Amino acid sequence: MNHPTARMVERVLVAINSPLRSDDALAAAVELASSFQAPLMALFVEDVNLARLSELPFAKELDRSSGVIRPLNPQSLDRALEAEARKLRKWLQDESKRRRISVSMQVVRGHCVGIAERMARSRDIVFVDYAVRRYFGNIATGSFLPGQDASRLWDKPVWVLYDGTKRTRRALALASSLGQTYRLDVVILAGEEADDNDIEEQKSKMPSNRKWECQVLRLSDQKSVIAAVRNRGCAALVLPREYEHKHDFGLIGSIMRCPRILV
Amino acid sequence: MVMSLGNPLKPEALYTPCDAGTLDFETTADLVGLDEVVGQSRALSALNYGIHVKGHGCNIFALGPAGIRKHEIVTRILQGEASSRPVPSDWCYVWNFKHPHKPSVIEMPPGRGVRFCQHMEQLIEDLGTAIPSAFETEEYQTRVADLERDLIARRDEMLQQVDEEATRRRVRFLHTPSGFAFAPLDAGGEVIDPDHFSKLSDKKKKQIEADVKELQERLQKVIRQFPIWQKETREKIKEIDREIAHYAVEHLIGGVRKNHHDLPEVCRYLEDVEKDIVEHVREFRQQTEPQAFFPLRSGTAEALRRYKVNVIVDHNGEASAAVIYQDLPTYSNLVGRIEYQAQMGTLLTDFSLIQAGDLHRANGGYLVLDADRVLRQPFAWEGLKRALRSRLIRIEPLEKAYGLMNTSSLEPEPIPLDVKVVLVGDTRLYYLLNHYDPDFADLFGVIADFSEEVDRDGGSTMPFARLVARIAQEEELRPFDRKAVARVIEFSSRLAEDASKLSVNVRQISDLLRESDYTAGAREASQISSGDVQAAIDARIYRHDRIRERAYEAIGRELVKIDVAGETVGQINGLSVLDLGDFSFGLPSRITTTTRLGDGKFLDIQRETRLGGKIHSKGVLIMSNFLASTYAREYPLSMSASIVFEQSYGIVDGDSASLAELCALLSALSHLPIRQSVAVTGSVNQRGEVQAIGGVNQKIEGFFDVCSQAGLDGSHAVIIPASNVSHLMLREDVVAAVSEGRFNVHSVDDVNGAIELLTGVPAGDRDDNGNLPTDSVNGMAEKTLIELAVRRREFARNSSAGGEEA
Repeated sequence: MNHPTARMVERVLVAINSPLRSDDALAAAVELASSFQAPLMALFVEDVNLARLSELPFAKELDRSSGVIRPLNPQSLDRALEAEARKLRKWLQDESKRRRISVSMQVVRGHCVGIAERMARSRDIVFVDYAVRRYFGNIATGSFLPGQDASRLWDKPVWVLYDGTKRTRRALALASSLGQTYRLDVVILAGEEADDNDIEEQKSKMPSNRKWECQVLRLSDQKSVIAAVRNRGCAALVLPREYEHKHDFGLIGSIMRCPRILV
Repeated sequence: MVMSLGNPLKPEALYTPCDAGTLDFETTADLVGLDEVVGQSRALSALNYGIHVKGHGCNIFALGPAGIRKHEIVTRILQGEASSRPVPSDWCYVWNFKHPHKPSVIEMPPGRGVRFCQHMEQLIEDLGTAIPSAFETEEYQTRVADLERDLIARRDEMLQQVDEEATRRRVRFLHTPSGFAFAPLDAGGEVIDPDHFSKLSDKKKKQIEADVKELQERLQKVIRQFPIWQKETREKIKEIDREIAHYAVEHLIGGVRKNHHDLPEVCRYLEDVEKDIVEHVREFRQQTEPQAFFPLRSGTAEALRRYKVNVIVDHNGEASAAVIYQDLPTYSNLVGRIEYQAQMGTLLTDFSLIQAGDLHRANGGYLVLDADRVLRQPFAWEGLKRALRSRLIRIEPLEKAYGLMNTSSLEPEPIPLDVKVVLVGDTRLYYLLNHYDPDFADLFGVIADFSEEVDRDGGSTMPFARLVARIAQEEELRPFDRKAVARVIEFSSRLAEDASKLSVNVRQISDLLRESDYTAGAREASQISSGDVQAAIDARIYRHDRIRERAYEAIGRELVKIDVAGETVGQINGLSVLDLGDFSFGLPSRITTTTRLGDGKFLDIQRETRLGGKIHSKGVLIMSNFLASTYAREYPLSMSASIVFEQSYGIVDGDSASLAELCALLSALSHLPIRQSVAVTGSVNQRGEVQAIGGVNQKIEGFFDVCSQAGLDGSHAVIIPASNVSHLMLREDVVAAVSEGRFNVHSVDDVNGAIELLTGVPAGDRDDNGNLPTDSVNGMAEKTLIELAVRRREFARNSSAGGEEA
């Protein structure tokens, strides 16, 4: 598929935080890379803090299901992470063949967001899963499912942060493109800086002959935003890369469980 | 010159014709076919009693010989009775929600079973769409999503609190591949480096470790709450499911309930259905196709299958109680069966595969069975008795009932049984069952004894003619004229082997009527005459006659030695009957005896060679006792005798030759020769009285035929018991020969009468002093016996003296 915004995407970068692996972000990244015909780069990020902990003499972990406490050591941690990385690599290879996209994967140790930002180029789309901020991550969705249909990720609106800056316009353009391609509604989360006329103008630029709608919510109107998140769900949140740290969504952020696309 | 033999029977005594003049019709076309049963008043009365009497065990055994249409009579009477009885209930098997392996049964008014089944089928169809639709509503989705979200939020909140506590203590809450961990932080906010940690003071280290341990314990408590919360959430979701399901199915089930509100059992069942649907609603929420490997046991269709209704007894459209006849009464056909479906090598079943048996179908009515067929089928008799005894129809696979298989199967709820069973069988079977099966008398308390014959008198000939008319009409035969009917009546008497009786063996009479029709058809006659009937009788005999012909030929060629002329001491012509099933004929046998000095023992060669039956042996013993009591009352019977049926290579049974054997023995003792032109039949008792025997007609005709081969000269005769005279229905040619004086039949009351006819010498009676005339048969026989006794005494004395000298 020739994506309307393909020329503004050089590469799709997805940072997979191990052990808080993200199926949704990965599947969405693959889908997008396929749409843009852009190469996909997966970063399997081993949490450096976990590695350090495992070397401490009193390191122990609690089992997620039973609460049993057991020793944690570097060897067992490495084995578990390697196994995860192997599975991910296999899955990516399969997807590469299936979708005819170029895929690469790198295992790095560090902080997920930091590494993603460091390795991203200016025209990359960066996927960082919200799971890094959750306690239970994707536990409910299980491990990777080869051949998983990413379209299930795209049955909710795509949200975009817009405040009138050039960076957020790019985010809006990407969100609009995703909406057009996957027939998703777009919810514009407007910051205080964005004025109504500008927003209306941006809306009018969006193709109108499709059966999707564009809703505008003010970030300050938390009640409406929370209600919309709960009622409509969220396929992805598109925002400029540097805004990931700039904006603290508070309660909204905690309930918006979706991958984030950093542009 | 032919010697005269006493007073033979007159020709009129040999055959009792039917006077066609007494029959008040021209042909059977003038008659109304007989509708009632001829001569079975005893059996009909018993059937009537058995049908109406109430009580456990008042089932009926209809017994009698084959060919008298017991089945037809029983069925006709039962159908007449059943027509006035109400239509029995329908019976349905349904799923048992408490014990799925024990399907429940529901009794319904006749015709309602199928309607109920149709209503449930419609309900199942409606449920298939109504339930998934109910769960696709936004309201439901939102309520469930809220609960799930609340659960996640609750867990996250608790973890958040632990996380915050950890942060306060400068500890990082981390995820591991399989859980969580706590790591102390350094001044830069990163997890502390192991080298750095090692350089910390012991106090600091202990503090950190204590903090981590405390956090771990706190987190452990939190994690252990999660399953409880999860369970609570699941229960809440289930409650919503139940609520939604209830709304979805309530009105659908209400529709069915409305149609059957008058049946409390159905209403209770529908309540159970509703509860079950609500309880298992998740199974119906998505319309899934059966899986390829287990098409019977997967998918929504399978889940809904348990609400089906299996109508095993349907009386829809019937007007009265049923009369069921089963000609293959296997165990399964009687008590029903549970069928199985093979799926990938596994046998599966459920209540919908329960099949009714005849007991189900006849319940509330009548069941007619052939006794011998029931007994021949493995376990059928036991199954029938069990059902009658318990008054319950319990469908139980044989392999389970007899412990041959221990796999789990269904145990359908038994159905109350209210049926009258009529077993139809022969007399022998009835007495065998009565003797050997202790349950039999308890369960079959009414005996309907069908007779094969009726009295031949003025009152029975016209009904018999109407029976002929009925058979002719039923089988679309030509009408029989009155002489033909008279001949059929005579044939019937001959079948009964009694001139004063008529056989009601309808099968044999029907055979004759059909063949008579065939004969009349061959000559293109519009009516059947007596000649046609006689031709049919002759043709039938001819078809069966080959063995008789061969036997007579063997006698004619002297391969089998039978003398029909001259006189011989100790040799006599006895008469026997060879029964070939549908045909029997008489045959003379030469019986010889020898006597000698002995100790009173009789050597029955037939018995010694195991060619004699028990009754024959009994006859020989009676005869020896007669001799001893008649001639040797005051001295020992010092004679040994041997008796044999010459050229007899098969089993000889019956005592009808005992008169002949006794006469041969008297001839041997008296040294008086016996006329070989005379044959004898009859049995004797210890007093020398002659008793009736069977097959008298065939025996006379047999000897007549053999003598005819040699040429009848008036000397040929047969001696029969006087008590058999009334049984005589001899062939026309035999009667003609007697009329012309070429053949005779004599009847005797005792052995004296017979021996006089055979030897031409008076038998002799004792005078007042107890002496017999010396020139009589008895006198000469006694003399021989006394001589033998004297010789034996001398022999014994000489032997004793010789022994002492030695």
